[in-house]
Formats: sequence, structure tokens, C-alpha cells
Amino acid sequence: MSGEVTPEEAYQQAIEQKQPRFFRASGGAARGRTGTEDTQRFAENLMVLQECALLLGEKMDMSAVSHAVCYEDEETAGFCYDQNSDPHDPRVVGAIVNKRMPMRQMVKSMRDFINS
Amino acid sequence: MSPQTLTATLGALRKAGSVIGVVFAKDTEILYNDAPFVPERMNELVGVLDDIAFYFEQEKKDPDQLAFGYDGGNLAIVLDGSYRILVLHAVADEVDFIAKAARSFLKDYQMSIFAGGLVDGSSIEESRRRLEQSQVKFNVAEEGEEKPARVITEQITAQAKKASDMTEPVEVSAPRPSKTDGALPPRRDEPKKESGYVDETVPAAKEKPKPNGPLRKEIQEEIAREKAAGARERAKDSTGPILAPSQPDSTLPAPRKPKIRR
Repeated sequence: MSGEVTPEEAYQQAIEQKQPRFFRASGGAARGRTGTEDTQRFAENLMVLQECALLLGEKMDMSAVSHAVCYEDEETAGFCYDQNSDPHDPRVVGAIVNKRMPMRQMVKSMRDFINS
Repeated sequence: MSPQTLTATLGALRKAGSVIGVVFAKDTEILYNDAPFVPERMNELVGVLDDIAFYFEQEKKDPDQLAFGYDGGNLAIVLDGSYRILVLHAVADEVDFIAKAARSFLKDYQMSIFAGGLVDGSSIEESRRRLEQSQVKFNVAEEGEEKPARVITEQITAQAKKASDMTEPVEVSAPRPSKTDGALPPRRDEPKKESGYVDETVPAAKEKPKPNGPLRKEIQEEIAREKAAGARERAKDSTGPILAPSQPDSTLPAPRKPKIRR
């Protein structure tokens, strides 16, 4: 038996330790290590937050979104654009954590994940 | 919460750190706006935010804080039911402090409304009435002397009745219309009517009457009197001679034609 962690185990571990679960998205597809269901949740969050960011930014003449974070109950979800990616095919890194993480810390963790 | 308290608190938030704009809204109604955008644009922004909140409600989600980072700035939004605070700021790292301050303000605001509803009766209808009359209640509290609750309630009721009968005093700076001017100037907040539009309720009163017919002479005399009075007023202010009430506007002879030297 191999020592690799299954997606379910990774999800449980992240929930117990209240660690962020990271995801990547590009070209209309999202990928994660904590199972299909969790990745689908991230994809839904990403679409909603992107739409909100664009709608609000349009009214303020600010169209280039760099990051977005949403707090709901005891959960924090967000995404951050990978600035090193191709502007025509941008890559996005997102995270969900089951605690109210300060936004500064949340964005920093996503940037660290991009650079890792 | 009185408008002064609201303005002072949100004004302090506006001046904090790198904040460049603060908007406080209830649904689509803007209660406080200090943002570097024209009011129409802020109305649109608040309308979009209301649509977003409605979407989350439909999806059975209840986010209480949103933060967006753009290349030109950052936007922090704190939501609490139908109340929303939007804060525009330049430095992204300040978002946690800003959101905390906005959340504290919203809690205070809600608490002041709730406490007002508990003063004499906690029914929903009474609380709603208290909410509408929060301005009056805080004016009473600012007087500083302790009074029994019954007296305060009576004062609140009396002041609320007075407030409902009267509008807030506003400074009038527009010139008063003269007697010869038949139509009143349009109000500043009145929407401009398109040409050819006829107001059915007040049909011909807005037409400026032209001085023609038997009244023409009287009106011209009145204009001449007003001009003379104006000249006398000007003469009082200046160091020149003071004209008598019966004197015309000018007593100087007509200018002579200059001689041509050859």
C-alpha cells in the first residue's frame, strides 16, 4: 500500500487542522487535492466572486481584478490571480478555509502557494 | 443614531489610513456617501450591490464580508442584513482593520435602533416607529438632564408629531421674485420639464405675463421707482451725494458733444 493521502483524507485533515485547501483554475477547469465535491464548491465560489468583482469594478472604472475574498459564517473563500501567468490564459489560485482568516493572511497564503 | 453621530463616525473612518471613500446604504438607499464619484455612479454601485445581496439570498448564502482587490484600488464591503458599508481604500493590507471598524459601526447602529425600540414596549410596530423617530429621540437625550421615562416618552411623542408636521428648515438663498415677475423660479430639486410639457394641475400660472395693456404704464412706473430706490441704496454705500426720494435716478445733464479742435 502506498503512502499517498487520498482526497478524502486530505479534506478531513485540512478541516481538522483548519488549514486552507488550495485549488488551481485555468482554461475553464479547476483542480484540487481534496476531492471533486470540494473542487466544485471552489469553482462555484470562483464564478460568483469573479462576477461580483467585475460588476462592482465596472462601476468604479476598475476592471483588472487581482484578488477577491468572501467571508460567510466561519468560512473564508477567495481567489487570487497568478501574476506570472499569460494574460490571455490567466491562471487562478483559490483557497477555502473553515475559519475566519484575516484577508491579509489569506492573500499571502495564496501568493505563497503560487510561488511554491 | 442621529445624523451628526453617523456623519462623525463614518467621517472618522473616511479619514483613517488610506481610505478614499465610504458609502453606507440600506438596500438601495444611500444613507451616507463620501466617495470620489458622482452620486449617480454611487447609486448604480449600491444598486449592483443590492442585486448581489439578492443573488446570495436566493442561493441561501449569507456572506457578511467581501473584499475585492483591483489594480487601481481595493473595495471592502461589510453586509449586515439590509445595511451595507462600502469602503474604498488604496492599501490592500488595511482591509482587515477597515472591515473591523465598519463592522463595529454597523453593530452600534443596529444596537441604537434596537435599544430605542425597547424604551417603552418591544413590539415590532413600536420598534419600527422608534426607528423612524430615532432622530427625535437622540435630540432629547442630548439635553443632558435626567428625566423620568414617561416625561421623555411624552416629549418624544410631541417632538415626533411636530417633526411629522414640519419639514427640516433649509437655508433659502434664492432671490425673491419681484412684483412684475409673474412666475416663481423653478425649485432646484424639481426635474426639468421638456419643452411643450403642460402641467395640468397649474395650467397657465407659469407663463410670465408681459406688461401690455392698461397695466403697462403702472408697471413701467414701478420699475422706474425700483431703479431709483436701487440707485439711492448704491449712493448710500458710496461716498457720493445722497438723492432725495423724489429725485430721479440721475440729475446730471446730458453729456455734451466734444468740440473738435483743428
